[in-house]
Amino acid sequence: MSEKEINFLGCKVIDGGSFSKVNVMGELISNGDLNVDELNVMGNAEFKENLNAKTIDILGPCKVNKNIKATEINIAGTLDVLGNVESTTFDSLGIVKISGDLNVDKASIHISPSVFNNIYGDHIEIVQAKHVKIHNKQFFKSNIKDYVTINEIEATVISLMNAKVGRVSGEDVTIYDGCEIDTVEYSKRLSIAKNVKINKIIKF
Amino acid sequence: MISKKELLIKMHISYGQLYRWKREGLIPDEWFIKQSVSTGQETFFDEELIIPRIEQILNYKDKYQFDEMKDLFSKEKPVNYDYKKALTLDVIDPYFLKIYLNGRKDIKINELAVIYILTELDGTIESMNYLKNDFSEVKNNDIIFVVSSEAKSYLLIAPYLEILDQSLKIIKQYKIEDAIYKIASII
Repeated sequence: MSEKEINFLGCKVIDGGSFSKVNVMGELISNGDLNVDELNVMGNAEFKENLNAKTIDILGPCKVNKNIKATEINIAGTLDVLGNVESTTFDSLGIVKISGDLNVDKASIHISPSVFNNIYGDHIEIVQAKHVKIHNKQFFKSNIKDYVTINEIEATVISLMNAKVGRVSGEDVTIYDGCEIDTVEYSKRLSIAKNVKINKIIKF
Repeated sequence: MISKKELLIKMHISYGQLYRWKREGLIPDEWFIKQSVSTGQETFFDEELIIPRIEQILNYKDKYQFDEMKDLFSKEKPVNYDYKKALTLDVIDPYFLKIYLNGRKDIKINELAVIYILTELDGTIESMNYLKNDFSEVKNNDIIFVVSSEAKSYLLIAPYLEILDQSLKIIKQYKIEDAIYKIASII
């Protein structure tokens, strides 16, 4: 990756490019693919093409019109992605909308009015109280009576709370209070709390 | 064809492994074929492609890093279908196939999918007019739209049509992934 580290203050439009570190403290629009080791969005950012990064920390509003590929994504702000997201880890305390697929090893999503299309991976959890560490600072969010809405989740281990999901399929599935799920498929273990609505359960 | 769930059971792998390999580029996106079923959408694979690939990954995983494996797989010849086999498909007009191939001896399944759709559409559009195009870059999630304007019909291939000129009207649409599933089931 390039040695360039760049801070964007004020309003800036770029054609994309490769950088070691990008800090967005003002407003940034990138019209081309952006490749970066470390991306910090503390202001407002819109990426009209693909975003490729090692780590992405989002504190402000961020929109990506195509796809994201990363190793680590941490969100305390808002993220709106029209394409797909691939990352090893995905940690969200903010509000997220992903129109394509989220493919991760591990996702930890705080209860929020977030909307996902499909989530695929190894460990997927929707949790009540969570902290996200960004720049060695911890951000805590208090309990919110919201729902995360997801079309489909397929993962090895799934743990859900306050989620509205069309289809859940996994090896080890735990459904906590506040969930409404159309179909749950499991292969090894299923645990269901009392206050949940599930239309269909299938063991495969 | 084999469904995703059947694949996990048969190969003793987890969702996590399958999606990690997809993310790392060891299993191409276009091998995941989505189909509508009674319970919603289900994903299928061409058994002849996916089983050997997973066996290779399981054999190599202790010897090579993902990048090295991806490099090894990229050097393999892409799986194409022999044109003689393609000619036996009764859902595809053999004349269209011969014109499109133009002397080539093999064809990718996504190209076959387009020729199948052009066979279905012949009469609605002048399918022959489109056979000189190269359809090798058509993706699984693309849709073929037939749009009409002033009593003439035209073909558009795109993953979606967000904005369409008001003078054009969509009269038919075909999903490439549906066509791929149809062909893979009978080839």
